[in-house]
Amino acid sequence: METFLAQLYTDQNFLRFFLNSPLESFKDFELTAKEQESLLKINKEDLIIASKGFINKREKILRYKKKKQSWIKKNLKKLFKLEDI
Amino acid sequence: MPRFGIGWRREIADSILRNLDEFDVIEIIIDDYLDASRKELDYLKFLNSQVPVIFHGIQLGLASSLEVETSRLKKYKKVIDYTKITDWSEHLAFVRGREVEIHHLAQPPMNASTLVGLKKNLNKAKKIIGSLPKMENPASLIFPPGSDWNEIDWIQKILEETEIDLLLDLHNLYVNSENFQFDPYEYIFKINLQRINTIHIAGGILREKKLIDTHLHNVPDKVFQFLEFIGGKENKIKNVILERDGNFPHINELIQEIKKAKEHYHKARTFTKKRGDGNIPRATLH
Repeated sequence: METFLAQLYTDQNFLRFFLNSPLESFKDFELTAKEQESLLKINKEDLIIASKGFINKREKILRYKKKKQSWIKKNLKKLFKLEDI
Repeated sequence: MPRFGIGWRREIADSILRNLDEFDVIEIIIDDYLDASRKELDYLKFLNSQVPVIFHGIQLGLASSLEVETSRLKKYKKVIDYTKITDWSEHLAFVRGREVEIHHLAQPPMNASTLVGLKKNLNKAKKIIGSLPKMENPASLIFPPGSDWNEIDWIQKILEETEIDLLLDLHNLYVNSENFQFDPYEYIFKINLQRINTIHIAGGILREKKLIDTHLHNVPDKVFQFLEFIGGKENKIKNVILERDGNFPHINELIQEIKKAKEHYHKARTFTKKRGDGNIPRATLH
């Protein structure tokens, strides 16, 4: 179920596929009947809003990872005039 | 008496360090240091010698029927052991499927299968790292499909069946209670307050009729009210941490928010002492 949800939350194409053909979208995920039933009852508006949120956050994090720098070292060195500890 | 502090973010690192006296504790995202050099970890150790540091994890995904990766736990252990910063937390969330990284915290299906997975993952974490994390309640915009329980029952079962202490994020509680229509005070009433180790406070916004936990806005009054309510009861809270991830105001504004949190917490405790019992009727706070 989490694998299905992870796909749903992060892949707009898969989300569209699910919204248009939910039963088809279940095919590769080994979901139980109960899990499929709960997905069919999902609040679609909430799902779309949540998915947008996840995708935005994901993009921010991937951008941030590219810029990551050792700010703690830079700032501590500057403020405490540390050379090496 | 809890320590009041702030979540470390690189954009305000300079300001935090210049005002270190204003913070009793600093919370650092451990995932930012999993591949750090020894020298960088030495700087963390140095910071911990100036002010208590606690770690906050975001990438383990412990609340999942999928097994947590051993390699990730070993990386956490390496950083925790080297820095000797042993106080750590994570989330009651999943962050990946089999081959898909969400890169964010998702509330898992609140059911028996997730609970079994969580227990296994916590045991594995304890075995590898040597200690259990405090576990945070995540915010969500969608009621997790596949859930058999509501959030109040879910957190109660977790506290009954595991040994974890909670990191209670009051803004996440506020967001979920509004988005999924449950009583946040019932949630607080039903959990054992002795099991809350840390509290997070943060802000968000209302968008498309949903409350969103953005961490980009000031802490709303409702969150301070929750803090005051909890402050008035017997508890073992060790830390209250302000989280802000962006849209940063001047550091003095963040310091004022922390001071406001202290005032609300202590106001209730003063009232309790005067009244001589450990309970404040909910009605008197509203």
